[in-house]
Amino acid sequence: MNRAVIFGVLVAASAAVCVQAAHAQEVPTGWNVSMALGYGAIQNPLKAAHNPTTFVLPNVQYYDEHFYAENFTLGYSLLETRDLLIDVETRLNDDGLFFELNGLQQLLATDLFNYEPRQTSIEGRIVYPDIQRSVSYLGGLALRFPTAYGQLSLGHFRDISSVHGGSESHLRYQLQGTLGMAKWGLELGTSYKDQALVDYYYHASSDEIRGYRVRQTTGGTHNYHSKVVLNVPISPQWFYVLTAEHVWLGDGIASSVLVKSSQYSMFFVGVGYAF
Amino acid sequence: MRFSALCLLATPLLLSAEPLLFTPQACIVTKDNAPCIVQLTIQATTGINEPSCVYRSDVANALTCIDRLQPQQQIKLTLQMSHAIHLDVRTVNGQLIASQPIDYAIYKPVTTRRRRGLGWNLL
Repeated sequence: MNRAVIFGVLVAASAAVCVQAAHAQEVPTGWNVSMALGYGAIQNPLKAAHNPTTFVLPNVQYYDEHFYAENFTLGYSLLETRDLLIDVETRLNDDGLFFELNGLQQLLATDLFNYEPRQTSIEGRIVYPDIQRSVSYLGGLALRFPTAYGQLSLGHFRDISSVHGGSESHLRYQLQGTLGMAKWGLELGTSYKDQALVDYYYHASSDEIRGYRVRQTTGGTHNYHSKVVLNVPISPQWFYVLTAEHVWLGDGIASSVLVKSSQYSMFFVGVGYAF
Repeated sequence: MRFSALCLLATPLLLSAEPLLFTPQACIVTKDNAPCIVQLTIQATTGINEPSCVYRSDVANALTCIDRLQPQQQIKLTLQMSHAIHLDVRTVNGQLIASQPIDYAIYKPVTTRRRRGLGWNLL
């Protein structure tokens, strides 16, 4: 319930500033490639997992008359007007990334310092490195409604990678504006992840918990998130970058024996260069 | 079929020593291979005191001739072109007074798309 309250406060706060916000951003067609150097980290909500860090943040975008690519999101516009965008879109599911990121970080010796000892009996029975999940790719339909007061978007996406057969639905509100020379963006959103998706990633099998009897209550659930981005130009191609995101996991995920925290954050701060 | 043409206004060089100013110096179309029609003005800065003619690089005959041109006096020409040309102004004795390339260009407006997600680069 606290998540909904906090989310409501953020929505109200964003409504207060939206009067000064600009329309959602138009970008020239063609390639748009940029790279940021700095420091970023993600709190991995999985138990016994390491918090991935990075010093580089790439950004690759491409737009033509109908097709678009924004990093791992690909789409084809069925309709694009001033007030409505209808896209067929494919995107990466983020739940699988936590398992993959954890596996990558285990290869780094420095992460030994972040190692979390197992604490409870159930955790003592789980060999977390043995728990593996595949990254899934989703496809579906996205509707976006740009207005002078921000952009509302809805989307429904199903697993097209035959990993779990589940789906997730998105509701997002995005706002962008300028502050002197700086540009800022704010996004508030919720995503509903269905039972099949949540169970695949967060329900531990009896083998994984070594036959330990524990009641698992994973299930379809709503996550909420807020995200801020700030760019301050230094020169035509260089700019300061700050981006941060906070996610509140729904009870269906937060209750998992594999999850240690009901919320997590990620951030990156550095200097970007647009090619 | 006539295609609309956009004229690029050249910035006159007030301190230029050129005896003639040509404006515009380019003819711009909005579609590939479209004929471009431009109203050209040749303005005298210092004046021409002997009979002279305007020649187009892809046409043998003179476009127009004048007996003399007082300072600030103008010659107006309508040109149709499908490629870049040169205009020369020569005296009847063949002495070159001024030469000016007139570019042929295709205007391609920058098309934009609406960014979908909120990435870290908003610029």
